[in-house]
Order: sequence, then C-alpha cells, then structure tokens
Amino acid sequence: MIPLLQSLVDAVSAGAIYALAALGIGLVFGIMRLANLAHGEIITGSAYTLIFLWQFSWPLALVASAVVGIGIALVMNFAVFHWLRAQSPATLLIASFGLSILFQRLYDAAFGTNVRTAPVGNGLSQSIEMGGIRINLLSVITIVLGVVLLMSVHLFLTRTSLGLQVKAASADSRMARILGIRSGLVIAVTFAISGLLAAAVAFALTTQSGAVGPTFGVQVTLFGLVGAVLGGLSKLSGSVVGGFAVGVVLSLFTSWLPPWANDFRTALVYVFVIIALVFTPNGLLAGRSKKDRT
Amino acid sequence: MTERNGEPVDESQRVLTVENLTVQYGGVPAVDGISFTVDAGELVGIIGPNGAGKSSTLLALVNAVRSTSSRLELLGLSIAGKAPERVARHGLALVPEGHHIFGELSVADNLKLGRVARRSMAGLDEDTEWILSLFPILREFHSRSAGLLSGGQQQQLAIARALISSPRLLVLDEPSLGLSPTAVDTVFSAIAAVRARGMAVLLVEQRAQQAVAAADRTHVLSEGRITMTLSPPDASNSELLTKAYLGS
Repeated sequence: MIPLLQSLVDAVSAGAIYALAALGIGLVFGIMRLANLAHGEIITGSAYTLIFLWQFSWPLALVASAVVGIGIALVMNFAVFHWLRAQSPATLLIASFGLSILFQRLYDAAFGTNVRTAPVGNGLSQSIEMGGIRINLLSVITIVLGVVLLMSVHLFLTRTSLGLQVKAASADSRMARILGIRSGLVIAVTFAISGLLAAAVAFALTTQSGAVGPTFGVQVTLFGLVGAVLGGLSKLSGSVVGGFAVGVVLSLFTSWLPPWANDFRTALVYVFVIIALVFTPNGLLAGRSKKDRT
Repeated sequence: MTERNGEPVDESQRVLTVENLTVQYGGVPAVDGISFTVDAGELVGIIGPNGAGKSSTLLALVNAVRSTSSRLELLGLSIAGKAPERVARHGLALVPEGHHIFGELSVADNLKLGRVARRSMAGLDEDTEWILSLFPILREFHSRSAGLLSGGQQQQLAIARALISSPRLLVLDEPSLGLSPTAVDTVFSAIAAVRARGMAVLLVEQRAQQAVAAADRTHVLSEGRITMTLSPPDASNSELLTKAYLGS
C-alpha cells in the first residue's frame, strides 16, 4: 500500500514536470505554429545556472535561473524566430532543431561534455510523514510548484488584457493584428513565459538529479512535445493534460515494470502515445477542426 | 482645398485618401489603380460582383495584403506599408468578411479586445453603453462563449468590437452576408447610427440596392477598377444597378 501511494505521488510529480514542459511548448506553438525543439536548451541553461550558483545563495540561484531561462527564450525569439515568423511550421521546426544543436555545442564548449554536479535543493530530498505515510518532500513541492504555475498562467491568460491578447493572437493572428494587437510584443511575452516555465522544469529536474550536461533538457522536451501532441496542440489545456499523462505513465512504468522490461519504458511510452493517437488523431482534448491560421 | 464633382472639399475633414491603389496576386491585378476618398461623417459604399477586388481593397488598407499606391493616407498620415496594428491604432477599424470573432472567448472578452486600439480610455463606459444599445443581444449574452452565437449575432459582436476601439473610420466587408433579414436590418440600423455620430464608414456590400440607398456615394468595382459612382437616387434605378453589376 505504501509503495503504491509513494509511486502514485511520484507519478503525479513527474506528470507536473512534463505538464509544465508541454505548456511551455504549447504556448509558443499556439502563438506562432512553432514546435520549439530548442525549448530543452532553455531548460539546460537554467539548470546550469542553478548548479553553479546554488552553493553561493539559493535565492540568487533561483532568481538567476528564471532570468536566464527568460533571457535565452527571448534571445531565441529575437535572433532567429522573429525573422522567420512568416515561414511555414516545417521551416520553423527545422530552425529550432538547428538552434537546439547550436546551444548544445555552446554548452559543451563552455562547460565541457561531462556533467556538472552540485547539491541543488538537498534539503528537499527528505521524506515527510502525511497521515502515517512517508512521502518524498521533493515530489510534494514539485506538485505544488506545478499547480501554482499552471494556475498562474491560466489566470494571466484569462484575467489580464495582455493574456487575452495572447489568446486572441493564438486563435487568429491576422485578426488580432487588425484589432491593433502588437504581434511582436505578444510573441515576446509568450516566449518569456515559456522561458520561465523552462526554468521551473530545470529546478524540479536539477533537485532530483543534481547533475547537468549539455543535453540535459532534451529528453524532457521530447516527452513534453509528445505530451502536447497527445493532448492536442490546438488547445493549451490539451498540452497540459497530454504532458501530465506522459509524465504519469513514464513514472509508473519506472516504478512498476519488472527490471528486465524497464529499459524499454521509453519505447513503451511511445507505444502508449501511438495507440492513443490512433484513436484520437487530433489529440485527447482536441476540439472541432479549426481553420488554418495566417 | 480640392474639388469633387465640381464642389470644393475641405481636406481637414478627409479621413481616408486612396490614390492609384493596386493589389496583385501572382502578377494578376485584383485591384487596378483605384482612387477614392472618405470624409468625416460620410458613408461610402463599394459594390461589385464576386472577384471584383472589393475585399482586396479593404485588406490593402490595413496592409494585410501587399499593395502599391501613389497615396494612401488615414487622417493625414501615410499608412502605406504600415503594420495592421499601427493602422488600427491610428483609427481604422476593419470588420473583415466572415466575422472573425474569437469563438473560445466570451462575448465580454471579445469586446475587451476592441479596447486595444483605443487611443484614450476616456468615455469608454459611455461608448460601451451606446454600442450595447445598438446590439442589445450582446448585453444579454455577455458571458456566453462567442462561438455559441448565431451568425447574425457574431456579426453584431464583430461590429461592436470594432466600435469599442472608437475608430475614426469603420470599414465593413459584406456585413450582411449570410444573415437573416432581421439581422440585416439590425446591422444597417447600426451603420446609420454610427454615421449619425459623425464616424466615417466604408462599406463593401453585395446588397447593391441597400448599399446605394444608404451611402453618400457608392463606387462600382469591376475587374479591379471603379467603373461607375452611384448616388442614393440611383438605388431605385434597377436597370442602372443591373448594368453596374453585369457591365454594359
């Protein structure tokens, strides 16, 4: 019973991480049809910041990793994607792939191929007792962080003027501009939010592993993207639910699969995703088909 | 001062000046060097058959399609090549064909988006009250998802959203398309009320008779060119209207 509950809490915690990754990817996809493969390198940049600065001051490390995440996201936007806005999703995807490789090489050159380690959030690795059951504190904090950030993004999008503009530009960018919405500003804000979400993912993953290498953010981004597609990229709630589902399944496979099958857990997640997409090709939460956006 | 129809025209009242506007798609002209003006408080109509270049003309005004012109001015400022959002913030509100409301947002949120292009928030409450009095159904469905409204209600929402921006020039692309007769009446009454407030209106319509009757003057567009300009008395001349549409 106790291992079962612990594994469920771990699964929800993993789900929260992948939901945050999928939301960061889904937001940017919604606004400019860009499936940003380089989202992982934003996560990696924030993770390196945590690793290097945690020993000096943890509040400084947290703030700096958020600033670095937002900064890298904005640099990617203004240096590359801003100039490709009118291009097709395929062109944008390839550009993001190139950017991903470029950033990995830059991290490699700057910090070396080997992982850098530091005890980030060491105090969080203890267990706490809740109702007679011991639960990993880090899992609980990750879940709380995920819920707070998801709620914050939701409130931003639904309760603020700028958030409404982001939603409008995501739904119909040409009409949004005709209404006077500054597309450049709205895109930059969206990238900044995705950078902040990437920093949150970096924090959750770095406290788990304490080790960061140049390809640190690749796997979570791939699964985040898969989750976003699974849930339906046309809806943000779809991205979140899909990301959460992938995280939960991945974590449950890790806990429950016999040792000989555990090496195949990643492949099994993809099998799960393929089966789901066969039955719901537009994603689990996809609405009716929409017009192409210009 | 310049002249139109031999009458002197005060250019300080000029809201929109279009000279030699051309829009080409793949080298084929959709709009072929047309010129017209709209003054404050005027309602100017554009009619013509499908493919005449009406919508392309309107989209060119907000630079949503590429165009060339010798003069394209809104309130004395050149808007040639300016981004759609800048044109909107300078006072031109376009309601494109097909409503383009945000279906997943509520009616209230759609209306809020109209505020983005507003130059001043002074008088917002009064303007909102006036607009909701033109389209009472929007008050009733304030919190409803806009995608659940009927076609006629969505058109009313699209016009209301444009009016919230307090534009100097309201540009409507076939506002009556696909609407029930009652909804068409609501839309045309609203257009009359907008004009009575001194706002300039540029109206593209398929309902030639209704448009010609309502507008100060109506340009007939055919194969990208203005072939005729009609005045309200021409609305009852069905022979002339047929000729305007089908050519001589």
